[in-house]
Parts: sequence; structure tokens; C-alpha cells
Amino acid sequence: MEGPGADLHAPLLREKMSVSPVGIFLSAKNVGSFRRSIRALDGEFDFDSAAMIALGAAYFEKYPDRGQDRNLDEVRLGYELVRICVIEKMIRGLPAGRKELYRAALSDAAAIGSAVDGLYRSIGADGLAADHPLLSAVLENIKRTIDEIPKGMIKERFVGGVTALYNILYVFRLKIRSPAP
Amino acid sequence: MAAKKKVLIIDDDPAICESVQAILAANGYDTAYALSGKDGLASFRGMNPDIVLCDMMMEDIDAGVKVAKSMKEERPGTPVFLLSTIGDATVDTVGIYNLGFSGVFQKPVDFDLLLSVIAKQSKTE
Repeated sequence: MEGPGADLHAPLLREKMSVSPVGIFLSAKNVGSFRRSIRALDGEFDFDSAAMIALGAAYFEKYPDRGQDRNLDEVRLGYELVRICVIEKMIRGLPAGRKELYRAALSDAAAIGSAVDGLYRSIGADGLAADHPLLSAVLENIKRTIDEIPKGMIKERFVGGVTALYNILYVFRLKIRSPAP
Repeated sequence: MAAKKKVLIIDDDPAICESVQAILAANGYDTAYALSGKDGLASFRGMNPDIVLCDMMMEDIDAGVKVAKSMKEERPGTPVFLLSTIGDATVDTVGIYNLGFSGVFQKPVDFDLLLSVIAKQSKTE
């Protein structure tokens, strides 16, 4: 049963959760400022299928896609915008001290080896093993939301964006299973 | 000691290429990747991979098909697997064999399945 404190905080939470990534995307000067603004929300933003579609529609309005001779930098930007949002949702429930470690490990697949080693040194195999189910569960929930998006290019960017995060979680699993150094 | 099998990954997203590379390397494969169909075809000719994993939509929406067809013409024995974001892309619905692919993996990829399939593929060569 919820105590009186829950009612007290509910309007504040609703207000915070009404922040939508599309508004931030439209006012962001570049991907770096989008990332900083999203991170500042600490996972407290709307990310249901309507919010995803709105973000995708605004992105395609700014960077229209075409069938041939596509601009791959713009395609990659789409994946990156998705990952910036998804990572913040994934780490939302983690202790503050670990969030930066996971941001680093999940944001840069090129440095995945050193980032996972850094995580391993900081929180150990037990810490990784404890966090992995939470990260996976959030990602699965987000994937179910992505599945609600109608088939098309917006969905393609979201599926493409989360795919690398699934891969990185698989690398975590390999690290958890590997013998201690 | 047997030589490591070589896998070429072709995808326009560097994060996917890097992360797939990390997983395959941890499982004993030699890997290389390319970020477009055009570069993928050049890498294919240069490294002579045992297996290719190829995205569909890259510089062209059907870049994967063009790449797979060229590879099949040049080296018909090399398996080329499609990495697809199309949720219902299957052997039947997309007709991947006619497009030059040996099989399809949906994104996000089930790596237990992928590793099992490419291990079997390596043994049958």
C-alpha cells in the first residue's frame, strides 16, 4: 500500500516524465548537446512508443532517408540518438556510482574490451552478474515497446540502435562466465 | 593446430561491427569488418573469409542483396548470412536463398544461435 509520501511526489514525477526526447532533439545543436540534455534527466523522460515515434519522425524530418546513395553518417546518427536514450533508461535503477561506468561501457563499442575490463576491476564479476539481469530486463522491456512501432524506417533505426546494446550485454555475459584473472 | 576461421562482418553501424567482432573473437574467430557494401566487397576479395555476416540496408536500401549476389558469383562456396532488422524476414518471406544469402539472423542477434550455426558451417566446409 502506498503511503502519503507517494501522493506528494506523484505530480512531480508526472511532470518530470512529461519530458520527451523529441523536444530535446529539436532544440539540441548537435548530438553532444542531445546526449548531455538526456543524461541530465537521469532516465526520467517519456519513452513509450509514441515518444519513440515522435523522436523518429523529427529525426527523419531533419534527415530524410532515401533508397539509394544514403548518407551513412545520418543513418548512424539515428542509431546513436536511440542508444543515448536507451542507455539512460537501462542504467536508471543502478546506484549512482555505477552509472558512469556503464555509460562508458555501453556507449563505446569500439572500446568494449577495455570498458568491460574497467567495469570488472571496479565492481567485479559479482557486481557485473548482479547488474546484468536488471540491464537485460530493461532492454527487453524497451524492445517490446519498439515492437509496437509500425514497420518502417523509424522502427529500423530503433531496432538497429538497440542491437549493439544487446551485443554489448552478451560481451558482459562472456566476461561474467570467464575465469577470474 | 587448426587455423582460425575468418568471419567478415558488413554493417553500416560501427557499434554493431565492433561488438560482433568482440563476441566472435572471444569465441575463437578471426574477424574483420566493413562499414558499407562497397567496402565489404573489397574486404571479401582481399581476405577470402570463411563466412560473411552482412546487413541489408547500408548505402543503398538493398546493398546487402547486391553484395551477396556478387560474392556468390565470385565464390559460390562461401556462406553469406543476412543480418536483418525486418522483424518477419525469414527464409520463406524474403526468399533469401534467391537473393544470394545462406540464412538470416534477426537483429537483435541471438548469439547462442549464430555461434552454433557458424560453428556447424565451419565443420561442413
